[in-house]
Amino acid sequence: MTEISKLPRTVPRLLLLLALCCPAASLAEAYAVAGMAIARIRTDTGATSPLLADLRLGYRFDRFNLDNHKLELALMPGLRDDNLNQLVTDIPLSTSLFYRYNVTPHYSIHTDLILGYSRTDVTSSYVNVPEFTDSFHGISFGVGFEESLKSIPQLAFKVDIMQLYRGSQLRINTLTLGFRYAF
Amino acid sequence: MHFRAVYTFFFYILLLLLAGCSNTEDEEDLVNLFAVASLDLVAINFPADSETLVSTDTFVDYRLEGTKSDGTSNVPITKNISWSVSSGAASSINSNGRLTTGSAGEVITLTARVGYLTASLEVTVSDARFDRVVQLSSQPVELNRCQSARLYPVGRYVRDDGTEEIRAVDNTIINTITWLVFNAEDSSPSQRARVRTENSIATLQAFASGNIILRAQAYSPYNDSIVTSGDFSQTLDNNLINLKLCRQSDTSLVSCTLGNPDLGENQTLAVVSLAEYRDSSGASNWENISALSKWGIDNPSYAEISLSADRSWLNIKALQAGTSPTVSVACGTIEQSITDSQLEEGVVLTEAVSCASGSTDCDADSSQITIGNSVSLSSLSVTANGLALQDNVELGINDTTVILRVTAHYSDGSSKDVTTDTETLYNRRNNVLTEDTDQSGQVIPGQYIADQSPGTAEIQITYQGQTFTALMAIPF
Repeated sequence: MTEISKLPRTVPRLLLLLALCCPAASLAEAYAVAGMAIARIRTDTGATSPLLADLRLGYRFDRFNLDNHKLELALMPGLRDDNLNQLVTDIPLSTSLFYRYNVTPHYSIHTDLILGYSRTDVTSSYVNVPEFTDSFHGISFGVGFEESLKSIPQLAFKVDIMQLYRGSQLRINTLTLGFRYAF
Repeated sequence: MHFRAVYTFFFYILLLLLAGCSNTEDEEDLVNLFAVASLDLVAINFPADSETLVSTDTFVDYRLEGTKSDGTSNVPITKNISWSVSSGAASSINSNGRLTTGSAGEVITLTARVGYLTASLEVTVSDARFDRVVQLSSQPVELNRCQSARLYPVGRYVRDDGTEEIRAVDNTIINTITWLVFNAEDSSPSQRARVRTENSIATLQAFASGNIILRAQAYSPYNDSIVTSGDFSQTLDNNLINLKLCRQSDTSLVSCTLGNPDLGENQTLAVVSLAEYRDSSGASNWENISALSKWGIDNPSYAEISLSADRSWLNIKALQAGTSPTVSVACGTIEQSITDSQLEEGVVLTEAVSCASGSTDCDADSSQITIGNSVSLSSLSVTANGLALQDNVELGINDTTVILRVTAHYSDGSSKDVTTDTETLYNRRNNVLTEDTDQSGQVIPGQYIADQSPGTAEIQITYQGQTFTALMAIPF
């Protein structure tokens, strides 16, 4: 097994390590996110747009002047495939570990710069071609916006625009709309 | 601060790990699949008439065809193709499928790839030398006067050992051929047709009907001299049954007519000549034959005529107001004398053209153009419920319904109501007024109702490039 294929396993381990390092009750605010994401799998010759669910768990640090920093684990299972002529593509699962830095802490709409690592599986089938699945993993980055509801401050509406994967000939981008709930 | 140090250490280690770990190993499969799927293909192949025997030191443009997922075959493919030749070959191929052969004979394999689909073709590069053209075209040539047809001349090539190859004339030789055209009945030089060669494509253009003889004259490396081919007989058919003038902008070739149009001074009108041809089954169709028509104008000081760059239409520029020049067009043998260079460049005469008397292979049409004074739009005026508005100046309107009237004023002093003209565009810049509609829900041009939001309504009105901004204070 190559070093590259080992790496996705390390992601949840690192998250676990982080969780152990920072007792959630005292140092961090845990939150969950639920939303929908439209993915864009794009090459030089065409693109498809499968639909995904977007589920996340995260920590926002609230001590040591780190309250603008968040870490989250995202799981995006596929909801609907998409076609390009007879080509059917689907993303059965995308997993990511994101670090988010809030650059507008004093505004009601928070803007996060996002950096992380993602692994995205893409399943494809075409005429005379057996269905196969490829995994794409690498650095992800993007920007997120969120605003808390005035009546329920723990609940925030959020939008994330991400590039999950950027290869030499392939891009996988997502646009996520969802809600974040802080525990 | 202990925790912060741990956190920072962890973060930088994580970034270090991530930076080296973008994978590209699986990209190729998916990218190839997208390339094929975007064209909806399931197979690709070279067309059956692809050249497999080509000369040295020339080039050949190869094409690719495909089969679609619905089974439709022989569909031309023009993109997402990656071309290659066998390694070590002296010949090369570019991204457009142009094979440039080397100076030595060789057998190469051409490979075309679209995504994961590939097609191959074995090509022999022959060092046989060109002798002469032996056939006018590898495919039958049928055309009528004022039509053109592509020629695929066939040549004789001779190898060093004296054996010969009969094959398509290569793209280097074809550009060097001088084509001679004679009337079949008396072998006199003919103006019935020309062969035009451009970008290695030879096209036979017929200007009249009748029987002609063509000869191809070219330098022969085999003989080391200019060699003239034998005679190639060709008939130019006479199945043209109608000819007419239309505007270049007309979309229906069957029903269009030009009539006697009016033009302002210095205005330009683009016209085409259209011919109706009848085939052997009796069916007819109209074609634009502007390029091979003969054009003329009776008085060039009244209007100027010239062919467009691609000769697909004629531009008529009005020069002198108060005159009525006549533009004429003919296809076939005309009364007027024309030179060979005029045939090459496109026949546009500074005199009227007419069919030669007694000619059975000529049709003509003409149109008289009336040139008036140049009239241009000078301003717009607008009234709101009968009150005159000034451009960009607010005026109070005390009605819940506002009816605008837009008038266009011209340089010759005339004016007309353009309120409902389709070229009049209304752009409501705010929500103080909203568009009024009729009973069927259609918006009534220029009619608005107050939308219970008092303020200054702003509506921008544009007609033929002139803009008027109507500002109305609405109290409701």
